[in-house]
Amino acid sequence: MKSLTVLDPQSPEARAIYHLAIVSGIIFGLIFIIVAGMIVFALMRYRWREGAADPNQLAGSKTVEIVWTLIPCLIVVALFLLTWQTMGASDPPAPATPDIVITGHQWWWEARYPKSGVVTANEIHIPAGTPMAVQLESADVLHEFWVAQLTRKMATVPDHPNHIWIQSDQPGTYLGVCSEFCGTQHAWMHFLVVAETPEQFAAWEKAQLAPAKIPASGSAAQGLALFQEHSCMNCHAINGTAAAARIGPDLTHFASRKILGAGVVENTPANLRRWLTDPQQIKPGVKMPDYKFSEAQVSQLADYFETLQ
Amino acid sequence: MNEIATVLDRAGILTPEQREHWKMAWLSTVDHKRIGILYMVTGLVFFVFGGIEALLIRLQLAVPNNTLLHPDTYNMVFTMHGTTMIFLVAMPVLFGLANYIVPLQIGARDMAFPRLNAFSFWLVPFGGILLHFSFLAGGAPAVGWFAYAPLSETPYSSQPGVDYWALSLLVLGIGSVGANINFIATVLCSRAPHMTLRRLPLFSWMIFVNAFLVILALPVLNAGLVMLLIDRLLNTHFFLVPGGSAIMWQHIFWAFGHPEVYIVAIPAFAILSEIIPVFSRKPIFGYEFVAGSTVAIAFLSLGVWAHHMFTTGLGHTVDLFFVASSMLIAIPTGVKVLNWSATMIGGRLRFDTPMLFCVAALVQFLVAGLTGVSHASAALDWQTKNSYYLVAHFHFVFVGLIVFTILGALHYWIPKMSGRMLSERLGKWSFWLMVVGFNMTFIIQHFLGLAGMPRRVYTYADLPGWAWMNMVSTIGAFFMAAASLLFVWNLIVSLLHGRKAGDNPWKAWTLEWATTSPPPHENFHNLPPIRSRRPLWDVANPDRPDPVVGSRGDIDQFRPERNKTSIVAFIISETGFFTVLILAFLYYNATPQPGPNPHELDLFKTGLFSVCLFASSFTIWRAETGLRHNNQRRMIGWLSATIVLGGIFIGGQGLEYWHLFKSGVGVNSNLFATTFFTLTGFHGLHVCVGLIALFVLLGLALAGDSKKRPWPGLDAIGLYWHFVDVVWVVVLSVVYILPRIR
Repeated sequence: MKSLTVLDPQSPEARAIYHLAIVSGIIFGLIFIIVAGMIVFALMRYRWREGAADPNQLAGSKTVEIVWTLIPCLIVVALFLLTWQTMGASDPPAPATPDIVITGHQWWWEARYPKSGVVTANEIHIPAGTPMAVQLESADVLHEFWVAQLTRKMATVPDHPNHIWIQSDQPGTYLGVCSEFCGTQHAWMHFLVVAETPEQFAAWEKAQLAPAKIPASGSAAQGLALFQEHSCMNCHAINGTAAAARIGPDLTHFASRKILGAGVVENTPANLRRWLTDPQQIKPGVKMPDYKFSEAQVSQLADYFETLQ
Repeated sequence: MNEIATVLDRAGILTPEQREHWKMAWLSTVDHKRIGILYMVTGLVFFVFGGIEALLIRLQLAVPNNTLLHPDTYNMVFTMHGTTMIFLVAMPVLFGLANYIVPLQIGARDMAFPRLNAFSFWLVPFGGILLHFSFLAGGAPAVGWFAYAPLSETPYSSQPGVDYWALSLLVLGIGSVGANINFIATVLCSRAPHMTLRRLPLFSWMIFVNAFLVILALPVLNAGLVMLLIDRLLNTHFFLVPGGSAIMWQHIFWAFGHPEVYIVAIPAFAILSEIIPVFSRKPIFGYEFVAGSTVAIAFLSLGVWAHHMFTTGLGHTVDLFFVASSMLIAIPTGVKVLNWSATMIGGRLRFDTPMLFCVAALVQFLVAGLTGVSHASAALDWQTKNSYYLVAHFHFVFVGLIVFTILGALHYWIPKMSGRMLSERLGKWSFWLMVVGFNMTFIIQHFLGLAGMPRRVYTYADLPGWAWMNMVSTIGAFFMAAASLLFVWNLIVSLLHGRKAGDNPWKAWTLEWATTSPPPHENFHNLPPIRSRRPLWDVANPDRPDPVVGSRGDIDQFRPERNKTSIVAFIISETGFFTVLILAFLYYNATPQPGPNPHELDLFKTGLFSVCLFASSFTIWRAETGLRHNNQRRMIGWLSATIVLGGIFIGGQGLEYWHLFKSGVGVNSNLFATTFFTLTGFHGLHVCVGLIALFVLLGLALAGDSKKRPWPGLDAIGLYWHFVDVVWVVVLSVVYILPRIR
């Protein structure tokens, strides 16, 4: 099962933060035990009894005050230095050119690989063991890119590109989310990070660069025709067809992806048909309108999309 | 209805004539005690709204993939929950409490400005209704309580909800500034003769410090709200690309927003500092350190805002500055916690309901403080920000500390207000329900956050551990709801049938307990001698009184005139407002942009009418001199000259606007035009307000009112007028002169 936990880091960047969390957790725990212990001691030891006279009216002590001002000062200095060190380790300076440019949209993620030209959505592939420089951009409002097991979170801000590193020690699939509120469907703005062996990653890039196959005949061909004559092309791109819009997710290799609607459901044939029947039913407020396709049309479109491996 | 009238009567001390028309008596009151109660009742009403919204949130999140609420509805609900709880519950209740208690604690008859007090209060229901009216006007705001741009801008939130949100916060902000100018003037100018500032009870002292924070921070929000409204209503783009900056909104909002946290936390500290000593039967441990650390916290809180922006991408250098400043706050806060704990050590602790709530608040605040430090550490915040760990952290502050101390304070002071004790049995029941419910709801949310649950999601997938943790949290919320209902029940029953309280049921030591419960209209018939910080301790223990603070017969020499004091406080608040607008002008005009630019402004003409405005500072000073020499004619002459000069300035500015409009320059032409009209427009508005005040003074003077001594209005308005001139010196330099030099 995929997880979002920050307590199971899978990269040097996430691990640096995790270690700081453990160290500061211990410090905070000790402070809590000491201070709460003092309070509990007072509660147990100094209870009022019926008829007790008022106690000694001690109004303070300068020495004590100085001591318990200085000790927190030292703790704060230590925490500051630890934080400084961890910031460097978990978020090294960015290179001039990014490996991946990730753009937050309401409510999905676009990933472009400028060095190879791959464009995909909601599923980011990386080679395991290699740090990838990510540039984060926004197409509309603020979003926040968060893959808890791999790296720090960072906002996507209009006209203000941000940079982070992402890497994974081992091959594996990790869940990411948008963590800055961005409107109606903020909840379903998930994505996957798929870490593969360098060979698998190279093969994936090659496959992604290939244009979509044009089905010659049958239901899938009718689906493509439907896709082209309806307004689908106003928002979506399919490499190899006339569709080239960048408003919605690129669909060239749609069928190779594991999730649909930025994670609202898994990408299965049945879910795809439900989605095409009425996306608003599955993800209320999503920018894709309900086209009121007939059952036959849904079937043709789905047959076509399933060829987009 | 008679029952209610009797209860209200007891609480509000109505005279027999007023009893006939008790509704009118409450609506038209200017008495600080009744206004305090009105504030608290208003807060309680909105608490019901905010509480229902909280329960809706928890119901929706109780199980994964829930479809109880539509996502848009959920987003409205959490936005309204946050906005309501902060602006319509925490602030009104705390200001109301302070309104009731501070004048009593300092031995005053009322607040310094009773009518300003009533005005500030009535803005609360007005703002609240304005905010909730959005439900009828096409939908409540659905942008979160900090309304991050550009989501809050027209292209992404086209419904008027955000407009109502901004307008209502503007109204509430003005009310808060008014109330707190009043606190400053009251504490400085209305203290009983022997109540020196060093003898001030900690509650009043902290409310006094807090008032400065309010008048510094709220105007910053007001400036941001004004810019957002101009964006939305006049199609400009302060916070929208191209040219505008989403990050600018974050800076402005959090420059207000973080001090705001302390604005509601410091009164909670104030309550702890009052209740813990009384129920420990000991004075506070380290009065000077508790008081001094409040000043340190208030001061530091103005310089930590960007710790809300560690994931915005400001760079490590900026991040590190705010890591350091935010961590520094932990030191004075830690000092406070340790002093409260030390107060209990060696005491005789009585666990009546007020003390129970305060002890729980102390321990819960300890947790909130420690998780707060983890958010101050940018590297940790890079993981936990915007997750349920953060939600847990700030609810430990807002509920764990603030709601708990408010409940403690109500159990403590309501006997003073009503003359009747609340039921201890019901009080303890609601306390234990609250403690269990609160910790059940929010401890688990720390772990939900570490398991990766982001905040503000209307539903979630069934990821490992999420479902049961959310369910536990939801169940806890209903315990809290039960505790709140029980509290209201306790309130009703006890107000009607509670045991009589007497003057001083808790054997406390500050002046509010030296008068009857409820206090008479004029608060005190006679005051006990005030030589230390605990006058009633000295009365009860003549054999071992507290050491005298200052010299025995000390009468405070520092007692400024209240009108001038209030204007100085008002000027401080306006400085915050104009600073934001001026910085915005500098920021947005740092690089030249297409369209109109500063070089097109006519420096010569503007220079001419600026000279008139500067000259009017001289004429109003002459008018003041005339008044001092009791020369009515000269005073009226110079006052009229001031009005004429101010009028010429406004006329000149109107002419300049007219020329710009004619040449096709409007507020939305480009960011130069937007910032130019915003800055000079708001300055012009202040000149107009000054002119109205001067006209009123002139009318009064012509009617012979200025023959009365003292006649403080002229000095006070004079100060304001000089301030408006000084602002124009800065605006003239920044807008007209600086771009020419570069």
